[in-house]
Amino acid sequence: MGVAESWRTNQSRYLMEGRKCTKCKTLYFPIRQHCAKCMDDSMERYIFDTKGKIVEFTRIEEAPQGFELMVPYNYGIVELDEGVRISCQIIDSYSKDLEVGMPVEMTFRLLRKSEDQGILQYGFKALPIE
Amino acid sequence: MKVEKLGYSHTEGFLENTLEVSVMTAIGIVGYGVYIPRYRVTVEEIARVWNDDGKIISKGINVTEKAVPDIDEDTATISVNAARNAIVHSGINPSELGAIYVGSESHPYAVKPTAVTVAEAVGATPDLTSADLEFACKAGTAGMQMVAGLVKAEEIKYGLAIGTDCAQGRPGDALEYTAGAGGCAIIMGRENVIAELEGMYSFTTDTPDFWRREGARYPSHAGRFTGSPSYFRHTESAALGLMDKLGLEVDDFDRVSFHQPNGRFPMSAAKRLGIPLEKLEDALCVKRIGNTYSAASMIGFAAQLDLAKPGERVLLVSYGSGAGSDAFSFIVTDEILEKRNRSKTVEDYIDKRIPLDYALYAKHRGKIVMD
Ligand SMILES: [Zn+2]
Repeated sequence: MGVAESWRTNQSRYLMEGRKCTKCKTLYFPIRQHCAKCMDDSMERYIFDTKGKIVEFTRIEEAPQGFELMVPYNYGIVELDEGVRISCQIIDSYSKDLEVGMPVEMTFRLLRKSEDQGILQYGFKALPIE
Repeated sequence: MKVEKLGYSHTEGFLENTLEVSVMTAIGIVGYGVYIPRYRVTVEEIARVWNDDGKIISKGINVTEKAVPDIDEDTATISVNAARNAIVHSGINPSELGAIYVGSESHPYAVKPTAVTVAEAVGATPDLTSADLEFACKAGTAGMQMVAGLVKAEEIKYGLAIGTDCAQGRPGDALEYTAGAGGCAIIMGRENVIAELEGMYSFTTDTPDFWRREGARYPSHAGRFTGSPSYFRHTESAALGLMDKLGLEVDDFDRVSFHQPNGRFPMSAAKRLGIPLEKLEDALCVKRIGNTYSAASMIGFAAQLDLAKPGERVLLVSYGSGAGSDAFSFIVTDEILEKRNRSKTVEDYIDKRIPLDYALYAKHRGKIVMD
């Protein structure tokens, strides 16, 4: 993600901002301009709640660039309490294994630390809660 | 303060019965929140690596373990999570925050403010002012003073001040035993205040006890010089200066929190001021999370607020090397009971711990060189 794209998606990555169709009330994440159900374009800003559960996940052992220190880590799909599914990193705690259905809470973390001179990218990750 | 408006009649002069009185409400803390990373490394584990006697060191500094950030946590993420807790606790709409100041000595960027990331991530942009502050370990309380001033001048409705750090100690240096991580966010305003700001006072001099030059990774310190002319002189002078300013005695305070670079210094300062240990004890988070630098006195203060009863008077004194101390007196209100348990307490965070060995700790703190 370049600097410009990173900046454009700040709001959705920082605040979990999505869209709500004012007509049929369908929720969307990430942001989209038209409702896929009723094709209406009267979408309003919607900030998602931070609670959800793990739907599926996979363990990443080989790190792409900028993620070397994070391996091994888990990436997966989380279903938010509002029913919308999002993909994100799922934070591990060394101490116990992740399971499908585990409740999570979205927390603010460093997503990517590229080369020394690059920008730091922040956003949400899912943190399993007891 | 009372503002009186008098009605005036051309025939009878000032009319007494049209007297309107509006009483300006006190300003104070509307909400607060902390964030402390879950990982811990014990003093004994660090000592094992450097062939020191961990038991003796741990006893000497009165610290058993310190908080270590996760690989993807830094001063910005800690600030955001503390700020979100403070907003939940306060019950305010984040768009009503007119100022956000982040005090730290470990901002992720040399140039690009941490405060803007916080402002965006809590939903306070764009209608606000913000800045990063720096004054060793007292930049967070400097932010509290600035926010208090803006609220008092009625320039803003609410303001947020954050003290936060991911402290770094050179491997093998004495500071490595205590350099912890954590953050505390305090929202000030006029409405639904949980603790009224009674007054503030600062004591500042040019004292070279601890420093880090631009570009240097780890700080340097003047060893024994960090004690008497620095920490104790400033902390005690600020505390006594505040009492003098407000006409208070040491015994008027029910709870205190001081800056806590280790577990010994704040205890000695309390003793020298004639404050019984039990009034400080609940604030001594340093014993289990280490020195959280800009957050240290504020997290201790938050721990006191977590337990405080309405009517209690709480003293907060920060200390920042270089050197200065900010002292505050707060009086807890009934509102504190209303807002209690809305967000996680200091104890909730301290309790939830995952121990690390030195190797994982080194990985977490980026002490492993990859190239
Ligand atoms: Zn629709």
